[in-house]
Amino acid sequence: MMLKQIFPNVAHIWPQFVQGIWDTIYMTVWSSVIAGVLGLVVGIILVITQEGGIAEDSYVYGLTDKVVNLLRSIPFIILLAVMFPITNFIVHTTVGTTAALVPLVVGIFPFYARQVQNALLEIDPQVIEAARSMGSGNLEIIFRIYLREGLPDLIRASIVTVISLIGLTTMAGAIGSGGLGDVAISIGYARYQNDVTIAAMLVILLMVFLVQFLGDWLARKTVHL
Amino acid sequence: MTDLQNPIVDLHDVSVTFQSNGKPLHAVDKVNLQIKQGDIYGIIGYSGAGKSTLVRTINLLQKPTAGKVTVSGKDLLQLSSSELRKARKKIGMIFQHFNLLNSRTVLNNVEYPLLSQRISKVKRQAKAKHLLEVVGLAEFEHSYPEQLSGGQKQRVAIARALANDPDILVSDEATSALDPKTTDDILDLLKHLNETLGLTIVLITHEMQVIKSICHHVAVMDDGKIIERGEVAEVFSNPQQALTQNFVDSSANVTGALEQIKADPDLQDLAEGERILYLKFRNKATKESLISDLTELYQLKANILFANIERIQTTSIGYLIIILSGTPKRLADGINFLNRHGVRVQLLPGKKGADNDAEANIS
Repeated sequence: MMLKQIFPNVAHIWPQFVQGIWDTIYMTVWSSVIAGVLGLVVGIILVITQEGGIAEDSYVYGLTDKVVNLLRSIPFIILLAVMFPITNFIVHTTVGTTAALVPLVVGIFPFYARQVQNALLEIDPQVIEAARSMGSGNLEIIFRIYLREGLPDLIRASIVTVISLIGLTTMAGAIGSGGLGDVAISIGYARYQNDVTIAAMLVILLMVFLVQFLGDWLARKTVHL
Repeated sequence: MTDLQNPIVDLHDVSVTFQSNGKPLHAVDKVNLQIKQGDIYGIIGYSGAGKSTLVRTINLLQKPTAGKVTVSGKDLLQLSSSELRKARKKIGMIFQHFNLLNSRTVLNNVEYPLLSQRISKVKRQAKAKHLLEVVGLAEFEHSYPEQLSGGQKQRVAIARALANDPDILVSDEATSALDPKTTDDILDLLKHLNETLGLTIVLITHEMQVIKSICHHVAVMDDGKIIERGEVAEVFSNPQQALTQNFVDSSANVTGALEQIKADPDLQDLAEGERILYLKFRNKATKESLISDLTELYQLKANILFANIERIQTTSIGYLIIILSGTPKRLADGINFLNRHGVRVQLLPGKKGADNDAEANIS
């Protein structure tokens, strides 16, 4: 079998390697969903409360803006360590994929919020004004204008975010989260089994390409030229 | 303008003041404006005059810093935010850059204002389709805005603005991004809507052409204030303010002609007894043979450099730039003759003989 020749050590730990793939997918999907919702909400808050926004509020904007900046400034590897007690409080464990979700979400949602903010700011303010002139309230403007008109940009922002997130899940391997990063570090690196590291990298690359491809296709479908 | 009974739009002492670099900037300065139902009211001014800010107070997109805004009998500043949104649905608005929703089809764009209404999708789409027919775009319902020309986009915007059967349509430079032919088509459509639906239209523009072709009333705005207003023909046949005069001149191409004449070296060097005159005729005077009278009665020679006649509704206004030559006495008599016949005469400076003798009655 080819696998045995090129990746002998991967073949040896095959069930563990497959589990690593699933763990990475699990962490990516769930943290995407949770951080996606959180980031979207925070991003919208930033856009509507900023100066000239539909619900201008300098206090809310200033606070949100600072929290997002602060969280984005913490290096992820340190965030993983710092989050330990909070993770324990929320999910009652500090190891495994579920425990990794907490720092992953905290690490990625501010990044996504900024991306959402930038995507929504691309929408012509005059279109928002037109909606107001037609008697639209703030909720209508958020759901029927911002999220609708900004969809292609939101999809692109989401691709970038999910790809970053895949990278972060491998880092979470450093604190024993499981997943391909864990496999690459605790087996490939620690046991000098380079083929394991390379195999993990290739699978990660494949995931990134898939996300990029799917996202581009979706974004194209939503642009009407 | 207080003689108006129950105006549909009544702006009372409306001011909008912005803070720019710590200094107050009066974008709109204590403006009073009454517009009667069924009118087409034009507000003309150069950019920065405050006209855009002023019309935005009509639907409170721009909240005035002082004053009272009454539309269809409602004091808008007293309304709750949900009442205000309801009132806005009765004030349609169209924009220079159309502001359509690019993610939605033409039909969905027109449907948009109805989404918050409790009506069935079938009824909503039927209404939107009807409006697209009114603006002449029925076959484009499944297109996206990006696929349309500027004129077509503005038609979609007009259909969308009509979705809630508004009483008033506010047009913010709606034709400024369009070519002259398309501008005329859009203005025709607006006029048609005014006549068939009784829609009151308030429009702002910097183009005289727009005012001349469809407006009944006009207000000239400068530096946050309305400096002149009234019926279009009245204001433009007898402008009182320099700015108004300026708009009239440029619309009749007089401005361009004057510049050419000033730049022409031959015309700078006039012979003794030659004068360049700018004559303005109104109504009756445009139909009389005053220039040939000058030649016959006063033995003056007239060389025509520029001539144009403008019609604003029922009023004709003639513009004439001539070189008149003769003896000083005859020139003075000739100019008096023109004045007597209601012609406004303005002496244009040439290098020689510009300011030597007294042409007493030049206004």
